[in-house]
Amino acid sequence: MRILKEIQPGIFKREGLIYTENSDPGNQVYGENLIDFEDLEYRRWIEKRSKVGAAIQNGMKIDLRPDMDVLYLGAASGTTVSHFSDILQDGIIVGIEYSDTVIKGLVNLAESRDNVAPVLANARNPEEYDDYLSEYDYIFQDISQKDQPEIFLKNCRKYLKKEGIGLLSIKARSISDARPLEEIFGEVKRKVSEVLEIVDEVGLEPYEKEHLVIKVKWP
Amino acid sequence: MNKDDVVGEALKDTRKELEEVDREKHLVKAVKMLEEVEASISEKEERFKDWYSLHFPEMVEEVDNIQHLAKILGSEVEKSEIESFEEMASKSTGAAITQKEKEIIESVIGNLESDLVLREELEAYIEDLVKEEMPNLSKLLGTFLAARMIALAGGLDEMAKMPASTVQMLGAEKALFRYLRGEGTPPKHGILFEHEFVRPLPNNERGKMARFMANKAVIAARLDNYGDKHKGEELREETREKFEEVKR
Repeated sequence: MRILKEIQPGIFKREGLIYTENSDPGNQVYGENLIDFEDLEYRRWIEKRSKVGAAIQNGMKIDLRPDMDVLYLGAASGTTVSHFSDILQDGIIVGIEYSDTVIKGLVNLAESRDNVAPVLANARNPEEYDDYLSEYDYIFQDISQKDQPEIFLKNCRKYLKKEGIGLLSIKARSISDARPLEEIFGEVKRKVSEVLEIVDEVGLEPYEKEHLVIKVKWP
Repeated sequence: MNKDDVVGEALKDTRKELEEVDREKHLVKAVKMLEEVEASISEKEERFKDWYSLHFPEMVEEVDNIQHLAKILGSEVEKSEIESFEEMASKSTGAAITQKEKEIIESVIGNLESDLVLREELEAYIEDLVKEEMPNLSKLLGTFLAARMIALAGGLDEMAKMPASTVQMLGAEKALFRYLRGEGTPPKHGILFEHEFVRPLPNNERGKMARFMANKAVIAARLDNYGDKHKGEELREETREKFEEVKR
């Protein structure tokens, strides 16, 4: 029997592929494979479809624990959100998405999972969603905008708990078309580290081009 | 709020927001659809004329306008049977057609006709909607330019928040980014070029006029979105004055 091994809380690996335990058994979210192992069903976490999946494959320990409450900025149609939802046993995910077209996927996801809260709002204005939770254990952001570091910092300042963890996916080409990668990443890291402490970073090659994921906590 | 309530509330709020009627979104989609339909008509028109010329080239020569052509051929495509073109038909150099060809040509022209109708309907819909929802902008730019501008900006609300310099570049993204990569010169105008106060000007004056127009267009969009809906005439007058000044 090929063995499925838990490599990080709630994240499993078998033969080089990663999985989460399906909390909505029998149903796929984005066309991923479902497998059975010891009477439980697992969903393949496709690295090419999810920046977090790619970061995990490239060796990052994301430090997401099952009891955390997550603020997810740029939730889109819920591909990565669905895996977070599998991992979180006691916590919830508040997913912020600005586009009313793609949020429809997230709404559908929320219907079948009881820990996903879809919110139609602009992550640039964190006040827009302060009705929900007032602080979070974990903030993840995947937004392709020029001011992505500023958006992240704004949200961390308002919502990230003292012992919380932040994960930021940076898309270099949203910041500048022309400047060299190192310069762009350097600038983002400098901005972020003025406020937070960067504890880990990983590039997403070969799954995504010109992306960097950084992990932060309060200093 | 406890966690279950957060999930329930968020889902409820989001569903409610998604249900709200937003006519601007329809406008954006309609403009894009119109652009597709126009492109498709012009391709089909070329193709059809080319095809029909096998049978009756003189007709295609004579009637260039596709709407007229569709009207004439709508009921009959066989040249000897078309009313009031008997003489032209008798001298025609085109080849005869069989029943089979006649049928398929009828289908093609029928399809073109329905595209033409669709185009008219889309135009009428867009015109009404723009006049109603953005009277200032449509006064200033004309209905279709206003509609295309809104479509490029992604909505009136979005356009109202844009700086005039961005509006000036709407539709010129390719040239703008080429310039930003360090190749070529900065574009002067995007679709604003099509405005009657910009296009007639000599090349070296258009940039100035486009810049002015963009500023006025943003003011119009902001008024449409947040304020007085009756400033269009005034804005247009100011723009006309500037145009006269630049033209000299």
